[in-house]
Amino acid sequence: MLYRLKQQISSIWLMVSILVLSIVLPLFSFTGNAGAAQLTTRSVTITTSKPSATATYTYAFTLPTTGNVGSVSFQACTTPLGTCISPGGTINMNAGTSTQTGWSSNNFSRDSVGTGASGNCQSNSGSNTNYLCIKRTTAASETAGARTVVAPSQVNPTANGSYFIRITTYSDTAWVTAVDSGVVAYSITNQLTINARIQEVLNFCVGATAVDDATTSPGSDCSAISGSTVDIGVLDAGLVNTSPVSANGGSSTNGVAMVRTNAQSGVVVSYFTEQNTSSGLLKVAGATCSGTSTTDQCINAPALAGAQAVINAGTEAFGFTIPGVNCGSVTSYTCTFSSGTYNLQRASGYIGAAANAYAVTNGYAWDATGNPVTIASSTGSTVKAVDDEALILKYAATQSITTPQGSYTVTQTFIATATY
Amino acid sequence: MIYRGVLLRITLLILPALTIIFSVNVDAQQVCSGSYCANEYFFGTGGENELNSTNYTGKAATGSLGVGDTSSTSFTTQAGYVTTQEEYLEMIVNTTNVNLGTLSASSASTGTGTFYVRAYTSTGYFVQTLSPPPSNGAVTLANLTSPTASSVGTEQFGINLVANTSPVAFGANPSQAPDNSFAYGVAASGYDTPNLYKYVAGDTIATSSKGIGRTDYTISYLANASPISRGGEYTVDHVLVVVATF
Repeated sequence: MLYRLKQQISSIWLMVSILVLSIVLPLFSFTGNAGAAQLTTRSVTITTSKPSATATYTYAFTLPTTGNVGSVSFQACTTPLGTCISPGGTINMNAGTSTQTGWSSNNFSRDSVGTGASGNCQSNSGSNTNYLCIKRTTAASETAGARTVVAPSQVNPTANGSYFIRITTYSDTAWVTAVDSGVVAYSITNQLTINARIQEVLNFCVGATAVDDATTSPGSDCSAISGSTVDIGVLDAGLVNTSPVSANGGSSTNGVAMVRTNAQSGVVVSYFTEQNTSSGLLKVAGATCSGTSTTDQCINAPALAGAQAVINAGTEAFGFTIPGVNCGSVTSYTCTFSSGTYNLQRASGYIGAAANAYAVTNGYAWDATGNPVTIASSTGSTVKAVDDEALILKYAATQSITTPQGSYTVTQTFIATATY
Repeated sequence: MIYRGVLLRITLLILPALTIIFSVNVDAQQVCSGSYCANEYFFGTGGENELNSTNYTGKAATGSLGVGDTSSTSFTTQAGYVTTQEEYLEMIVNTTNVNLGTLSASSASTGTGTFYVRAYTSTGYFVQTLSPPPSNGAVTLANLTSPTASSVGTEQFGINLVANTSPVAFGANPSQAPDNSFAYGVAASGYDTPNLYKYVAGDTIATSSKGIGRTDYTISYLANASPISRGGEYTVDHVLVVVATF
């Protein structure tokens, strides 16, 4: 009885074992891939994903086992497993001089042919542009751990897509006995093209302003500049009327010329006098001017040939100067007149005073010929673009005792020329 | 008495198989004998890895005890009979041109471009931007080297990968497809704050620490010109590179 119970138990146990094994066994998949362990923490970093571009491929992986490594192969395919189909097109991995880090000795060199005994590092077709084959002269022992191989001068495939590089290490120097392997992936894709345009800019304006210094903004930009007249009032032989003139009909304004430009070669500001009866002097309309007489209805220039000179009360003269470059509207860079940090430099003959002092001690000038005369330029500055720097224009005049009465006027035309 | 003894023996046989299942992950060594290696293990009923005819190969599974993926902070594993061990990485740039128009010192210019990354069996990836800022051939737009808000009238070029409300409403946060249980891509640090923009060539702009799915990204481009920004046509072919670790 006991014997029969034991037999039954054994039979049941056998049937259960057979049942369990019949469930389990078919569900294991055997690859027939004998012996090779998997490279872990593996990646390939490419320096550009642009099709057909030359790039550097940096392979990083961890060797899982300790043992000899004599050669390594890198094979690019369109799939990670199965029959390898080269990405084709412009791909070329068989190029450059690779460098390695982390190995017991970083002495792998590229073999352009990749031949050895059976199992050599070469495609079946004989074309090896999708292979990188590196080997040592003598195999060396490697411990498990992180390694890199940097391969420059690689050429990307032509077509956008995902590609796979199968990496295999070999214990010999002829790619015969595989040790470890793994697959990394990279992607070739089209690029985003970003477009933008910056237009050439020249904002130039002339007007009147009550500002009489180099720091108070005459207006945030040209849209805030207005006026077309500077009235320096009733002249007196005992005085030099210097704008802004508030008494005796004066307009209490200076002139102002503001410039904004992104011209990388700078801007030049010039003026010429409108001619009336062949003269550009401050005069009564229609009067004939000698240029030196103090009895004609013309106010002479401070000096001959448009030179700069001090105006003395009682010696008929009219001219203008630029006492300072106003930085009050500049926002895109540091602009301080007193320290010389501004881009629009005054031309000789129109500098009010030396050493960036806001003053008129150098005198005034006036060119009555009608020819353009440069009064300021940024072409000689380190930074030639100008952001709303403003030239303050101060006008001064005095009469001689013999200067005839009348309403004296003159028109200036200003020009800004930018070179981009 | 008989049946109790039998049950004990069955239990001892089953447990080792269950143990095998939970040790499987994307980085596990294969289990090998002298001639064969087992790549994947499954305990269950009804399935075939390769159903072959002359022209087709298929996989089939019935009665899998568990399917889907499960993740920790840094790892994702696939459970189920029909899984694949093949690595996969794909990045597709959907937009080919982003036109920021005419830059002005009085208003900001913005634009967007999109791309997606799909990875499988990776332990993570990152996306790098490799191009310089837009250039007119002589000068490049001033790039923002740290996350910075838009400043009209100051020359700037920057990007981020999130939804913004300033200077205007534009851009979008990373989107997981089909949902956030499959993919985990995010904007990288420095490019992940709304309304702040940065651009440094070589920076990582998107990352994923795990995941097997697809993340859709939107790049938000910002550009401002100063009053003295040099005139001309500015352009750049924006190169993106994705690197996955398997």
